[in-house]
Amino acid sequence: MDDFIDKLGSVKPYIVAKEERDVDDGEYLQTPAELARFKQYTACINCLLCYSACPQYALTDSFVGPAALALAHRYNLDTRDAGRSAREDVVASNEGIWDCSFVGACSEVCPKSVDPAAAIQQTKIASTGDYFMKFLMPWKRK
Amino acid sequence: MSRRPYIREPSKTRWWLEQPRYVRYMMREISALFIGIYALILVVGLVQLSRGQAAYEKFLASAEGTTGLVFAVLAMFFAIYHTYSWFQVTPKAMPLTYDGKPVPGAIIIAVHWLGFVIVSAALWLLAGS
Repeated sequence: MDDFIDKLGSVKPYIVAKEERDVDDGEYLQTPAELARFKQYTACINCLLCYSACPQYALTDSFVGPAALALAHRYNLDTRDAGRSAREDVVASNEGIWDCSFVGACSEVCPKSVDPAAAIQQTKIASTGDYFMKFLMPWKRK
Repeated sequence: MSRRPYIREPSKTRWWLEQPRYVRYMMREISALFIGIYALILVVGLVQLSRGQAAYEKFLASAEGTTGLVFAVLAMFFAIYHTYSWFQVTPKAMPLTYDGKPVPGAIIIAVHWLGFVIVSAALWLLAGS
């Protein structure tokens, strides 16, 4: 459990705002469609069944693991968030998404129908895009 | 009183036999090996073709032998399983929305199969069979 809590903290599972706003400025607005993009991932209850099901985590306990990566993806998809590059060091590392070999057991056992396997594969695609964009447009930094 | 520690020590070599879903995963991964070997055989065939008719006919004869045929059937089986297993997971990696609503996974999978059939048919026609 301690291991998970450390890993969860390392992916910054909270909104990293673009700029600090005053309470007087009001709420951050979001449309239902924007909410729908990440809503399923908010259902995670940190039960760790996905870690128990994951053979990759059993073999390599340095793997950040399904729930933490799914939550990182949840915040990356959030329109109010600007923390993607701050999460990248952990998420896009070898111990992050690239340790996942897509067994898919995490999503099968999730009692809240969260799909961590999907979150990780989508993060892999996004991160691969980032990698190539670095060469194509080196001046553009997220 | 502290709880009994939870220790998970899977076998390094036999972990994938523990659960049917791990076996299915391993099958999907191993299927790539057969496809790789089949691709190598095709490359050898091309090399033999460049060496002239006699060499190519020798290659064809060995491919049509019992071992060649058994491997071809095995490779076919694994190639189909490979295609099936990866198409099944495409909705996870490529979720689509249309008109603000998520496109059902079954449609994404069906479109992949459709593309597969069209490309296969085009190749079949190009090969002139």
